[in-house]
Amino acid sequence: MKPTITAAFSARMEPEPLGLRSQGARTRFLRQGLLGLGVLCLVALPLTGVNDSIVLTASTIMMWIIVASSWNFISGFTGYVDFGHGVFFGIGGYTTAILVAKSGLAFGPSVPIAALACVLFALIIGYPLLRLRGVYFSIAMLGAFLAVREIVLIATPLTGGARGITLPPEVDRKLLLLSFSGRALLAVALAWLLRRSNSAVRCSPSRTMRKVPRRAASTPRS
Amino acid sequence: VHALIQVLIDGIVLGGFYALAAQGLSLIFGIMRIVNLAHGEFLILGGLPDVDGPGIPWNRPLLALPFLILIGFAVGWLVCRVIVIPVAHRHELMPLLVTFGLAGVIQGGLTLVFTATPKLTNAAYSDSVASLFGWRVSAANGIMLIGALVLLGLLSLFVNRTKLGKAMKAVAQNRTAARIVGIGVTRVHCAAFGVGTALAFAAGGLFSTSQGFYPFMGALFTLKAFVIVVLGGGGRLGGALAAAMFIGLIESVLSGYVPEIGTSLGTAAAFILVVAVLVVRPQGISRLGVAKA
Repeated sequence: MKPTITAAFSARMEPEPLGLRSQGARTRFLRQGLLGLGVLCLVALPLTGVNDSIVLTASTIMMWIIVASSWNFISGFTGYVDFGHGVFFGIGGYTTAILVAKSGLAFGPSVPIAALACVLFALIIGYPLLRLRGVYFSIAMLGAFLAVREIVLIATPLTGGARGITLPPEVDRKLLLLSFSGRALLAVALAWLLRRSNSAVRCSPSRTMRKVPRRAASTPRS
Repeated sequence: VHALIQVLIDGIVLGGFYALAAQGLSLIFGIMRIVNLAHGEFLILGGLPDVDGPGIPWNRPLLALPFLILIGFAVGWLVCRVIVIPVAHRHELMPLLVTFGLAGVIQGGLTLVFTATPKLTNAAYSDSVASLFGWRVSAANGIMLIGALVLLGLLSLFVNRTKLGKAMKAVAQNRTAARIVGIGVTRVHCAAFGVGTALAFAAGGLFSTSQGFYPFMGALFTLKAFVIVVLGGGGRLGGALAAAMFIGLIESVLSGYVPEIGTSLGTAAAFILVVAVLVVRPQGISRLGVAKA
């Protein structure tokens, strides 16, 4: 169905979920199989005795998997396009760094604390910001991101300002890759479960979440 | 009191620049319902050729201004035609994503070509300062303010008096009706995008003489312009001007009275303000006056 001009340009158009597309069962199976194989290779990588640079690259890949799926949680499932997602990445990083460098806590226990700090921040800004729709949410998140960045740059005694914080290289690279991989698997599995359970529909806060878009009402959904 | 008045003067100068910077964004938003996230990058683009660009009368920002406006219009028109229009009908967030990507590309390109070191255009009047009763305005700042006000006046004339400007108003008021009476909506959209970009280029050109700037400032400008559009109530020239003055005054007071961290604090305040304003007015600015550009 070709959308009419009015529907296409209507400012009040409901946002469509961006990350959900229906696809054939075979393609899906193939894709998931390939994905699993790739992940397995990455996990097994440090055991083969390769050099540190490759381990670091693999860790970075895993990290982006986590970051991308976390973005998918908010933006892919709900249609809220989040332009300030890096703010959570930054808060997690800074919390860990401050805990390790300033209070002498070990790296291991400081990571969950950092995650909690992110959760807290998300609750604080999420409550007001999620009332916004479409473009306004995106811009407000970008604003929140830039505001936090400026504040972090100001708070030099705590954050080191533009120079940042340097951590002692105590954590084993291979262990780091393993924990990155574990968390990446967890993130992807969570996304998969959420999508399967359709709880995204059930826990929908009123209007924005995975609502059947007006224009696509007749197309099958995954 | 003397120092306070100096701070207020600085705030008004900054506000004049912000008004010009925001008006382009406001125009595009009012007419196309699109937030151009590359607006700040266009502004930086407008500032950089003055520094060491070939083909443009460099060192003479005022002479370069008409060229900048023409180039800005062409760039804006092209960007709109090639990347914004094709995606605009798909999803209301697509233009946002596309211009966000464009902003990243421009920023990366500029860093590559001009490096990340701050730039400042040297104009013939760079070193002169006008003073009255001991209050000082540098010539660069004064010219920036006057230039901004003149351009805003010209824009107002353009929108209210010319055929194309009236067509823009019509499209902003009711797109379907405008189409019915024979206005080429896509053409008007591209023209509006071009004019908005031209304003950003002009603002960048004027700004480049008054303060050092670097490629990463683009996003800050976009957001500040958006704050002003939201505060000013979308589209209205007077509202945007008042909001710009307000933001300029906040920034200059904070950077004048809070030592060391004041400048960053002013920037942070602007962004906290945009979040606050959006939250207080969750429906956004769409229901407010749109067509009074």
